[in-house]
Amino acid sequence: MESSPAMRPKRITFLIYLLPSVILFAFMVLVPVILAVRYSFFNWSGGPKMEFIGLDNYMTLIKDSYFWNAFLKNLLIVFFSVFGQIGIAFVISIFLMSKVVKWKGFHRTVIFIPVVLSSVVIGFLWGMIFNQDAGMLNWLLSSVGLESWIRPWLDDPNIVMFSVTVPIVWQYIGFYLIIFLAAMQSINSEVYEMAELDGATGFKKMLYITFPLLSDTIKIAIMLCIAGNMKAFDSIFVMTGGGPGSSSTVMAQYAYDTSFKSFKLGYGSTISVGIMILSVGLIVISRLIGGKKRD
Amino acid sequence: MKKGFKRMTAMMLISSLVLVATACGSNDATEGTDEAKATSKIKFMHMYDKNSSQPSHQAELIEQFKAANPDVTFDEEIQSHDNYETKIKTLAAANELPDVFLVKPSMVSTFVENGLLLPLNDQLDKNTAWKEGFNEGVLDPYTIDGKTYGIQMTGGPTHVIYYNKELIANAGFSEFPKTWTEFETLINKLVEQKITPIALGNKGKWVANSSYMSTLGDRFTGTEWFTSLIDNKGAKFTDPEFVQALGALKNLVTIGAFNKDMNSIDNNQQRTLYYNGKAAMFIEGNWAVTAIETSAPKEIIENTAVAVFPAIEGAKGDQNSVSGGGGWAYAVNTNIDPAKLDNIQKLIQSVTDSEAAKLMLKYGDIPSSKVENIEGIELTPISKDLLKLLETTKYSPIYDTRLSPALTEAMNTILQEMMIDKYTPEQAAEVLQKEYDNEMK
Repeated sequence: MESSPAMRPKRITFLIYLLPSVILFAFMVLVPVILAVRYSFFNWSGGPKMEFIGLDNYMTLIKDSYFWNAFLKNLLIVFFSVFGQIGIAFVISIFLMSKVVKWKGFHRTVIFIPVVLSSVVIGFLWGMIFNQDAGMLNWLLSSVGLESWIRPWLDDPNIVMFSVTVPIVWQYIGFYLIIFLAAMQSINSEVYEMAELDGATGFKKMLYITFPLLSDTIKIAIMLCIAGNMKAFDSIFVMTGGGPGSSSTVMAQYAYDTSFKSFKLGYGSTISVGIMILSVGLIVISRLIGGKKRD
Repeated sequence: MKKGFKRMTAMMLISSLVLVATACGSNDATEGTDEAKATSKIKFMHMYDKNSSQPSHQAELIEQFKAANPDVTFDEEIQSHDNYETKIKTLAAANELPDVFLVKPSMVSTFVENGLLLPLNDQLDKNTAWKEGFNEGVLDPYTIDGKTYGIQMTGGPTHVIYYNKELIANAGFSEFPKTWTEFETLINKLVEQKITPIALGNKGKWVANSSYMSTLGDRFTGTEWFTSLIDNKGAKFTDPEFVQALGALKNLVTIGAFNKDMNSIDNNQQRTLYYNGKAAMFIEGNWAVTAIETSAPKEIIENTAVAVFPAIEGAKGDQNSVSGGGGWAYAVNTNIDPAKLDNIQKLIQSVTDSEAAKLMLKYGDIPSSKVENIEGIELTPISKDLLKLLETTKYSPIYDTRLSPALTEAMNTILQEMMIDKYTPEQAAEVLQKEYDNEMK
């Protein structure tokens, strides 16, 4: 009897309570998205003069090699993040759940700290680590006698994407760690006890109990990971500014450069809509793959 | 309890309504006040705060004007530099520009295209001494089809080589090289001595374009080529002269003229390399003079001298040209009340003419108007050197302030891609030409 009709507020009250956040959401998210879709049909440089050009911007986008190269870079980040962020977070969370590890709270906090740091700070930090002359990475390499490994990490177009992906992976491990820890703690301990009686040990327990019971959480984590990395921008922008050349220009930065440096606000909006479509597409694909496994 | 909730709901509703109302209503509100005050006050937006910790000549000149003309009243809005740029673009997009404001050359074409700026030719003609006092070509970046839309106060070169006399002497050059071949020899010598010849921080991507390519390109192609390019009269990026210029820049990279991390550090960090004595030169605009004088160690300041790219053998353009002249300029709203125009003309003249220029020199800046008797003014050694150097050079267009923002952005990126070996000079020229064709069609 926990929801007796007397205590239940009226429907209209519910709606009124929801209203402020709905209005905020509408103005912060819905209206800009709709406006962006509208702008994407115009040739517009930011002034009162707007010229309707129909689907021309989209035709340009489909043939724009810079955009598709940027998309490949996002895919690379997504790929490494799905395995890096989610994989590493999964392994660490299993360790933190086991009885072997001491100081669990401490580990959890330390791993979570990068998540709350601003991406600009992360960008600066790693920019300094990667620095050619004074950077920690090159200093470390030379002090262990690996001088031949020293590279201009952010200047070599062939490795710059890997260099900028490392901080992104590192930053969000803690985020997925917390999600996995919460999910693992909600698995009934009786299941493990039964399994132990049947002779399942550490690795088997993980493979046959933890992993299947966590599959829904993992799916959500993968979706968050894709959505988050398709809009990757800030830390890369701080570290390289998209350079050298366009070697580390991801889609969001390409949209930014087009809109605010080239002043092609119409085409910039088209790119943003393109990012939205590709992200939704990727998420749908990942859901389809995840859904099949269950059957 | 229930009453309390209701009150809360009401409060929330009202606050959200207010939010919506302000978001939609701001347009009408400003237009209303606009009309009421239009006859009296001049709406003036700029970025020269008289109380700022870094005083500027413009702030001082504006205050002088106010003191001398108490009958002219202003509705002033002062923003910091970066905020100013964002705000003026936003106001332009909303068609709500103030009466007098500042524009950069790259904004002029977009603003004029949208019909936002008033041609100032009539104002300039009111006082020929003022009009003719400007250095040759300084108003060109703000001129479209013969109409001048902006009046500039300062415009130094964007290309100055700041070099360390001692390091160059150690490499066997008692004075700065006179020819491009010697310049390359100097670079080779410096590389042998394990000194970075030129510190470059091109993370922002504009440095290579603004401070290198604009001058280098002009030396090879001559200024007519660029004028023809801008007016779409046949010049192409793929013309052999321009490709040679790209090749010259690329060759500097090949012979090791720059630090390896040139694309991940910015122009402030390139100066740091020079301050540490690890680099023999760096190339930036005249604005770096103040930076050196305030941040470099004393022995570096004393050893610093200035130069420009030496003459290039066999190149077509004028060999004393240096890219320069751009910068912020005063502009007037096209919807201005004609009654205010006289006072506005007086204001702009008083902050840009040759009288004002003397003050700018004292601040270590390069004014757009000519000044007589430069010797009589107290200057820092590096500024004095620079002024002397500029007497022997002539200004050529700065690419990234004259080309459209879209083409500039493309060029910045393409130059950087050429410098990391993604493109050969020929390919870079072709890609650039493709962007140009897209723009012009």
